[in-house]
Amino acid sequence: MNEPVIQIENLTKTYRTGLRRSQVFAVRNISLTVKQGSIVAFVGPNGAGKTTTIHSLLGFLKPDRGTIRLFGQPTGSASLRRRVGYQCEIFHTYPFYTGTQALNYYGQLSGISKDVLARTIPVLLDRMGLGAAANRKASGYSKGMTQRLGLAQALIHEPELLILDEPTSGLDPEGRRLVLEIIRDEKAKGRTIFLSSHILADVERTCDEVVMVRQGEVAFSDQVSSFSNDSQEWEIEVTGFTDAIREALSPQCSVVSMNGDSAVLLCTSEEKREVLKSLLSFPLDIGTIQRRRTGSLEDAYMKHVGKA
Amino acid sequence: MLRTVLVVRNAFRGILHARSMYLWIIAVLVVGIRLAPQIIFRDTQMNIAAFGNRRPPPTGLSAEDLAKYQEIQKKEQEVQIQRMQEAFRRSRPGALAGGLSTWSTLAIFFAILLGSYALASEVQAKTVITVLARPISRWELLFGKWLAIQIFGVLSLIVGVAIHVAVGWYLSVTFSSILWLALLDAMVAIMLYSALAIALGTLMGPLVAAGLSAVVYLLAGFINFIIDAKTQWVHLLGTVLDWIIPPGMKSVFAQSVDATLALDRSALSKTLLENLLYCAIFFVLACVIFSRREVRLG
Repeated sequence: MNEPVIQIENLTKTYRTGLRRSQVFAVRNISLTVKQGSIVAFVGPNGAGKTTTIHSLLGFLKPDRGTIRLFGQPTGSASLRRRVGYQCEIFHTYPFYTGTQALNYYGQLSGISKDVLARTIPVLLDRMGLGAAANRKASGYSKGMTQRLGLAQALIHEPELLILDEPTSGLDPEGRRLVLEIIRDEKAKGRTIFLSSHILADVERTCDEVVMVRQGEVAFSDQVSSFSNDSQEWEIEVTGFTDAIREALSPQCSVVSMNGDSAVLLCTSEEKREVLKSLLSFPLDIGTIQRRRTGSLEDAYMKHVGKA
Repeated sequence: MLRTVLVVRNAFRGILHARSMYLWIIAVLVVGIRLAPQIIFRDTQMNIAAFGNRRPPPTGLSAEDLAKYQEIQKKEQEVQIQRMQEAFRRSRPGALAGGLSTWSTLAIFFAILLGSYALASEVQAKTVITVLARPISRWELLFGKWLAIQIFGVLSLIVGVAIHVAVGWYLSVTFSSILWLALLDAMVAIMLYSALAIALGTLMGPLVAAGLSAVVYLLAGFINFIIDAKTQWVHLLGTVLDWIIPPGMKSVFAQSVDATLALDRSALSKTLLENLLYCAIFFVLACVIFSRREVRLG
């Protein structure tokens, strides 16, 4: 169950740019392992080397140094690609194909028979919310529909490993939710998923592990479960806050920040009920009440990858 | 095999989607300019007056001699008209053969254009990575694209032959069975130059690849002149080019409409075999280069 599906060791890839053909590192000594049945997120800003790593994984790019193994074998063979489903960042397909025809083409290229495809394509398109547009030309699809078609083509041959480059990019909230649900469903079926994303909330909701890259190097990696939001402290946002109220509440809670008459108060879970009762007795408005986010994925991102 | 068939179908749909059939309209216009006089003036009497004024009668002739003189002049004019019409009629087969040869040359240029864009269009549209992420070999992708171009090439030749046979029927010109050999020669040239364009297209931009392929096609016609040069280095250059550059299309369409013209079958067979060999070399080179190169979307 925990066999490594992806093994990258010391991957280095450079490009030469400009008239002087100066060397630019796209990725430098990246090492990571993705175990079977897990969802691993590859997170980093634009230009951090996420797509270069994915393209090296798929054999589109040749590493300068380092080794890449998929299912324990070197990348590049056609038989390995049969086991991999890939969705690129912005999916592009042939404008003369309908959704069904596109999936037929990609499915047959992956070695799936026409009969099987005739059964699976309508189901898959329905699952992607594209059932009504199945016979429309893909050139007429919206960006979100095209992205969902991209995910469908990655799933059409039921691969063991899914490599998704920004799968929720360009999707509306509904589409994003659908795609995240599908990713979780695929994990439940035992598939291994390696995805790159900018959206940390998606990573927190779906992934088991996170690997953060910055300027082509792995800056941080950990289990997503280690970023817990189960803090015992609560933040309460209020407006109409005055010094008199502050003084009255001082034994129960502290003030985290204050801006004009708006303030964010901090209290423990045990104190929360009493604090809220007290607040109701004052002439102020209570805004959001939420657990204090400490040690979140976002904090880790800002610490290891962000400019701050 | 199935994957190649899929790529052929996909690539051919791509060719049709790119409105490539409009190229045939260009070909019809080019060939039409050549054939139009034959079609328009098929039954029209030549107006000899258009070629110069008649000599004025000598002065001092009697009325009877003047009438005889005019009678002789009229007969001379009729003979001239007949000769001109005969010459015009005799040029019909040549015009038709020239038209078909031009059409074939254009079909070769269309194949060069499609070949040089075969891969570039996929890379520019970014559709190539979704295909190459599948269990398909890169040579299968190139072979499928090359085959799709051959289908378009065959269709181009069929359309050209249909037009010329129809015009030939209208002008009472018949084609001999040599037409099949001429078409085979053109088809092999299409195979050859599309393979060259695909090979160059894996190395460089599509426009440069198309331009270079066209130069190779055009150079084939000049190599003998270069080899025959008296300057030694030019002669040497010609000899080297003779090895590098394939012989290209022989164009034996003239022999298919004129039985008096001799056809050197052994020379034609040699050219066809050489072209096929070069075609195979270029295609293998294309596969080797494409298999080794990285796929970057820019």
